[in-house]
Amino acid sequence: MKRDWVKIVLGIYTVFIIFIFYLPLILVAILSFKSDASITFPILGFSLYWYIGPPGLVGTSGFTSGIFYDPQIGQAIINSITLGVITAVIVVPLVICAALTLRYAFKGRDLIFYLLLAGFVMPAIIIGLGANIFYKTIGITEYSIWTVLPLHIVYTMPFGLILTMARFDPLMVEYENVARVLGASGWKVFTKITFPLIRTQVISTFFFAFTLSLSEFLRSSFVIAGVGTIPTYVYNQMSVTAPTPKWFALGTLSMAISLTLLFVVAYILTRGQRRII
Amino acid sequence: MTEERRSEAEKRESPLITFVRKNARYFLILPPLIVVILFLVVPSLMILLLSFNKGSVTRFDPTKISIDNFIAVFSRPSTYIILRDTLGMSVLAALVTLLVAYPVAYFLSFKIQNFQLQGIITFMLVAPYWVDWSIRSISWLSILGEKGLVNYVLMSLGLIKQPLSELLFTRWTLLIIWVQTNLLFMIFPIYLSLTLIDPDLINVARTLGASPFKAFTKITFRLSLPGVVIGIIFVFISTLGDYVTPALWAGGLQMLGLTVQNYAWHFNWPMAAAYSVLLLAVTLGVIWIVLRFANIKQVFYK
Repeated sequence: MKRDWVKIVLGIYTVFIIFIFYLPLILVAILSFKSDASITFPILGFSLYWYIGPPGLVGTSGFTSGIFYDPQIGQAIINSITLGVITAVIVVPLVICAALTLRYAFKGRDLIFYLLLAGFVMPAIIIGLGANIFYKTIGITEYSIWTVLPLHIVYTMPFGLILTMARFDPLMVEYENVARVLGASGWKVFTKITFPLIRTQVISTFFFAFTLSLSEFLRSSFVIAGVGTIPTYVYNQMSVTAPTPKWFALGTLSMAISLTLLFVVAYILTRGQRRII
Repeated sequence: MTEERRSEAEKRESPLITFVRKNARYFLILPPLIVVILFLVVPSLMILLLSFNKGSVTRFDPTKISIDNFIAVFSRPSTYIILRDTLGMSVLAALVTLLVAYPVAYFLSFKIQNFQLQGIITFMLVAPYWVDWSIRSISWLSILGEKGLVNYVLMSLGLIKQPLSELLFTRWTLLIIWVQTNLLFMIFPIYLSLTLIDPDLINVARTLGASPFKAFTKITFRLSLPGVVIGIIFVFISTLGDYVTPALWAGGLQMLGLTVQNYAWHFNWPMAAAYSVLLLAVTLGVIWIVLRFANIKQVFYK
């Protein structure tokens, strides 16, 4: 039997790329258990200080503590997850609405399609700056995660739209018409025919929106105040003090939680032998 | 019978309701459209308007219109250096990301038949993005820093005596970080368009005597162009609009996004707006050029 050398070479290459993807994360995990306050090598000793250490003075980094003693981290995590979930919950129906309409040819379809993708095309700083100017003009000066929410919606919607539209079955409209001719109501057609056909895309849209919202910084930072989300909180903290393994502890914790979640989702999605996108 | 009843009911309706009912499926577009117009189109127009004001105004003042900002932007030699560096780095990042990403996407879609395994690899590629952006960003200090992993390993092996200080804070650092952070968004669209290719097309070409290389360049690569173009556009946009990574890692290299942020930081909103308009023009120009290479719409409209 002839060996598929292309497959072997590409397989090794892919494993290498995944390793590169994970290298920073592996380092983050290892360095989060350091006993001293620097985030560099060599590692002189291990401890759990950056997780459960009580507030105190450590080395030259000043007053610090483990992540469990920092109430603001808890707040930032709650803010980030709230924002991510609400963004995803709003983006999913918006994407379904848009995708279902854009299947039909009508006047102005191209223009609307491009407009809906604009959140993807606009450079981050323009969305942030624009929102800042927009809020100032209409008189909103109290920034919170709720002023960030619309930005995350317009930013994540195009990804969901692309995912959903690219996998549309051309026969979908036919199936729907058959159901309609046979007497199904509009709602019934949607719940029994349309939705099951796009279920995988809907789930992907939800998780894409959540993931993108979770790590979004460039747009949010223009219209957020206080503790904010995890990225804005960590970034603001790092710009006033030298980075310590505390942030790596936070990263490791979020990595552990999200990997668990992802495997659960991956299991659910691949159970039916479906493509995930 | 039912037909007659329906048409009678239609006659009694007001024309407005008839219009709404007949076009009901198009009205679904309104919610997403309104959100985009309100939070994207209107703010962008406000930036455009504000760029024609001067001084430290925070909202548009129609009595003080001038084009001084744009005269200032285009008369500075630094603007052209910024433009050159920004475009150069973005183009380089897009091309390098494409070269790195394409084999992975190809492997995923053509060489793995098992959907479960495909799913696991895809999720392994997505998972790192769930770790916070700013934490991933500082982790580069641990890798490329003076006391970072690379220097540590090289010195332990005795290959170098002094730590290499030029690993961090050069434009190459910026390039490495940009490629690593954008890779997923290049892999995904290419993978997507590769899975849409009918394998029979390639089989036919091979049967008719095309070499594997020729079959790849003439069929596979061409048909994956929409994915390639989407990926390139994504990398362009995310790098053109990035103002933090260049500030942290590029060692003083001035970029367009960074310039906008500097002016905003110093509350010179009209100047920030003027540079934003330039940035948007550059972005749209680049997208326009890239879109010449593929018909993106065919992927979406079926």
